Amino acid sequence: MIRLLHTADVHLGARHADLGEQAAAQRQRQFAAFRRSVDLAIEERVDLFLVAGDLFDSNTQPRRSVERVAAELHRLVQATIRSVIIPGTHDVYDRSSIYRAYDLAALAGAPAGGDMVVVLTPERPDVVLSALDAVVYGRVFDTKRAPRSPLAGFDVHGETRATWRIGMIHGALSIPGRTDGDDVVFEAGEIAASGLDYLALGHWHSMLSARAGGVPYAYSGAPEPVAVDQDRAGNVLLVTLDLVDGVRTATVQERTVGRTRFERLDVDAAEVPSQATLIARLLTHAHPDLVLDVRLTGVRPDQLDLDLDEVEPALAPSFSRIRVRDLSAPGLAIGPVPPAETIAGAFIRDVEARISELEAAGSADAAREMLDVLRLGRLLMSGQEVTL
Amino acid sequence: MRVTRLRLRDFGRHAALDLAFAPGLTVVRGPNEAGKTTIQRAIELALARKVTSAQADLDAIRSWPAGPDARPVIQLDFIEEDVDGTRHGQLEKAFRGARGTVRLDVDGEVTTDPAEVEDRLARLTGIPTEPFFRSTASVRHHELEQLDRDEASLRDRLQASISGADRGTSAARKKLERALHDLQMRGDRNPGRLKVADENVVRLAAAVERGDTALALLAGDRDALGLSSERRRTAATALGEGRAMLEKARQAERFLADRDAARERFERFRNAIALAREVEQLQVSPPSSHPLPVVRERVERLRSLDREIAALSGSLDGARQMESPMPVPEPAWRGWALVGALFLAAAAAGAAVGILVPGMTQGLLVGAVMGSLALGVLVGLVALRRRRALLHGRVSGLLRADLDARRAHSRAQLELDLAAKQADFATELGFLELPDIAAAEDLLARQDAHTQAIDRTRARLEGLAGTLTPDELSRQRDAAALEIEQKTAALEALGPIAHEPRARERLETEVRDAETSLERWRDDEAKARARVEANAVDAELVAAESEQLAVSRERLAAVQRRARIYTETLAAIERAERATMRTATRYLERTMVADVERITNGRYRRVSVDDRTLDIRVFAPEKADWVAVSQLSQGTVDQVYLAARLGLVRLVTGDRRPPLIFDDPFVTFDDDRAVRALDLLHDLARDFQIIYLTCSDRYDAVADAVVVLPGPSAVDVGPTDEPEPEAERELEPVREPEPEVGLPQELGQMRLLDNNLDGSDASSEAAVPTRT
Repeated sequence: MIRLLHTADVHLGARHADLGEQAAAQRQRQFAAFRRSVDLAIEERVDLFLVAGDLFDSNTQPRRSVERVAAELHRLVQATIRSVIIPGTHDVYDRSSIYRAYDLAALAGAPAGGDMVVVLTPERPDVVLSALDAVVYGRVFDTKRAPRSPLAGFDVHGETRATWRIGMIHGALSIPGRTDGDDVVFEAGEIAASGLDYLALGHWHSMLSARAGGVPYAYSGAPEPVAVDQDRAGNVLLVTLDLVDGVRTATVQERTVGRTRFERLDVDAAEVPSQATLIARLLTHAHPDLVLDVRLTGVRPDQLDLDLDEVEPALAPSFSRIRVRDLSAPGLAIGPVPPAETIAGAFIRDVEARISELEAAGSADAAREMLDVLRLGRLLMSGQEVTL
Repeated sequence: MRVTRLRLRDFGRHAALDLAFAPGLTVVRGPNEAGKTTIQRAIELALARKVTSAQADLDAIRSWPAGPDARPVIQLDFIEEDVDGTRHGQLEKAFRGARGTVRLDVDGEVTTDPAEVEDRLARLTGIPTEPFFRSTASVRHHELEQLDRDEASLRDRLQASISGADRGTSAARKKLERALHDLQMRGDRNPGRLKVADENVVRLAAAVERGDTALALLAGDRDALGLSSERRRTAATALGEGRAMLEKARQAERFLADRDAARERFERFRNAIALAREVEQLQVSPPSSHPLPVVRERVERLRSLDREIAALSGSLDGARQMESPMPVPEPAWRGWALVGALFLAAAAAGAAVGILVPGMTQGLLVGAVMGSLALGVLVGLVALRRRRALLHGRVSGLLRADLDARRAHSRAQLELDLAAKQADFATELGFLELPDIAAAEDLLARQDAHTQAIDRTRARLEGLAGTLTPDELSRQRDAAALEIEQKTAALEALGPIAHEPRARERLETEVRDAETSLERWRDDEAKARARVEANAVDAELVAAESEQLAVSRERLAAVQRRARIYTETLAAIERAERATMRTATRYLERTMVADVERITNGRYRRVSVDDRTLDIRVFAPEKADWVAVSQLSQGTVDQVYLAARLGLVRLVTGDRRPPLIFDDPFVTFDDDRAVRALDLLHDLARDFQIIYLTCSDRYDAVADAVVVLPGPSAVDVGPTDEPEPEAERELEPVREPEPEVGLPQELGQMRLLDNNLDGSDASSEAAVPTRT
């Protein structure tokens, strides 16, 4: 039996343009999730720690970041847990690869020439872990875009060096129409033909576990979500490979290590009578680990006078990060319009005509701006209080 | 549209109120706090406020003494006259926020949908909105105050009438301009939000660009480092291989040299061995058993003896010849003399013939004579010489006989010596066991040649191998043969390079090139590594700046959007002003002339209104020039303003005729101004229903109807259902209330009671609408 922890897509040092000032904290969370993955590996006394690509978000991450990773790998070395890492598409194994620039194994204090920390590359496509009676294959290219499927012609049925055959790939399982633009794509049929006991995958940030022709494969997903749409991120996989009555089995367990949750919330502006109401309503979602992306949509009532520069600071302490975007638009003038002989009537007709022109031209943003112009002009001319 | 009756419940001060209005000018009179403004507000709300409105001001008009569930209710009866005839209508609005209800009944056609009701009311009144109502049909009590203070007041107030809102646009424009100014301030001390956001974006964008450039540089340098390292490794490998091949080539050269040397040694020793064997063979088969010196000595002696024997034999032969000399023949001279004489005779004969025989050929005869003559002479000479020799020989014979005797003695001695020498000669030949000297000479020659052959062979042997023994020679030869074999095997082991001509030279050149290449790639690698190490860019810091930039850009976009909205709003307002003011001014100029003429008793008959500012001027005949209206008397200004104001109402309401509500705008006028103003209103009442709210009774005289409200301390007894006949003038001001619209018949009584509970200074005095 062999037990392994499978993670991928840690994306250390990733940029989070959507998170603003919270982005640095999110990067810390990503590293913390990686550390918890290591903690879990040690607690569970796994035999093997796999990172299926994109450990780093780019090849230009600072030495400080590499050393922090190496320190975590060192803990695994001390716990006699072997680590096998493959480069991904962000930390691609090109000539400027971070894995060429730094010797992770050496930084992690692994004995030279040993197999405690191994980075699989095109030059070193596999490693035989004799102590584990396993061989790990890293199907890696030295270019971001793979010249062919990483599993093209890959077949380990004849492997004689070890009992357990574990594959690692950073790429997309082919889904026609969805993965055509991906850099590294492989087919389920190729997995089925590989003869592997387990295929550890990276690239998709959401967890997925399945079988292809009896070969178990899984995407661990990112240990800490990197973007809003990663609904099944935040996990690592504990995988047990066993031989029962001559039959090879694989058991995959999902374990949570991430903390951050991303949620999107669309609020109909028509249902928000005031700024205070909006704040109170959003506070019902408050959670320190929640990144809440709020969009005000629909038609905004005239009396709703929002200042997002006040809303976000008021909510910020209650969330990991909250972002409120006002995508709503004021309505057209409701009810009878003043006669065209009046300034307000002329104003409304003029602006509404412009709105119609912009909408007809498909300039939705400009039309929405003109709706704001319409609202502002109407309110100002009617003497209502408007925050400018 | 003319309102005939207004009933209120739980509306502001009025718990229950029922008023009737004349079609023309109705004065609603009551002391302060009697609720006149509330009546104005009620009509505004009834005609222009959507019943489902949830605006906060509705809470303020709710009658606070009423129960918690009580909500303001307005009921309004009206008539509408147009080309199609007169229609009667009743409107009831019960304000309960979103649950508010409305009911509009026009000649039995009932509508309860709030939006539809608002739409129909707007069409009936020409008043689309509440602000519009306030800016047109509702004239407030402060509106005519201080009109003479400055032109801007008059202008703004007039503009408000065509603004379509409840105020002019100047305030809006000022507010927008101020907001824009605040946004766009570029100063360093108090920068506007636009500048702050813009500078933030510029600063962060520059930082991010620097960071990204540095990161790209780092990636490029790392790539270059990787490339240089690869090339360095490749060059090092090539150099290593080149050096290895060079070493092989050098080894091959050494092996070849060694093998050649071994071959040379092998050949030498092999030849030496052959020579040694040759010497041995020569030594065992000499031509003579005697050594060469002995043979040579014997042969030399034989030669000497042979020469002596020859000499003795010669001497002896000479002596024998001298001892028996040969007879010397005497020369024959007579024959020669005879022949000569014959030739001479022939010549003489020929000459004689020639002379004697004429006719003979002269030439031939002369030749023959001369030839014979010459031959005769020559032969005669020979004969003479031979005769002299015959004489000399006869003398010599005598001398020779003496000599022969001495010679015979010498010959005997010679014969003895010769015999001795011949004996020695034979002895020597016998020693050599040879038959003659020729054999001895041959033996000597052969012995000498043999010895020389041995010497030469030995010399060659020594030249090849020194003084080695044959065994040693064999060992050396075998060693050389072994070395040849070994070197050949080693060369074969070196591969093709061992057989390539000039491989070493080629490889030396290649290795030199590879060393140069390696050095270059090492330099490149070192430089790339130095660049990588010198690049202090921190990707995480760049990421943070990038994220700040995204936020800043978003903020900048928001501020820019805000500025665009302000700018466009301002521009749109100005466009609307320009579009409407011109129409308004032309309209005013047309419609005000009659009013101004009447107001000024014909003094001013021409009016000019500025398109842009709405400034009004009149033509003063005494000055023969235009005069700003602000220069006229205050009373005139009031009336000009009022005329303009109402003119604008006509303009903006078109063919609609909403009721006009005046909240005592003439309160500050003296009686004269007030009456003149009322006169104007009275004229206006031909077209519009006018409801004039006032505390004063000075307008009663010009009113079509007067409704008196009780003071706040009075008990409101409500309006009487039956109007006093004597109060009616030209029109029926009050219609019977219709109970079915929702207000109970006992409303009047309830109203009285409720007004007692409104918290004001209530009194028991009943408020009784009266008619004058």
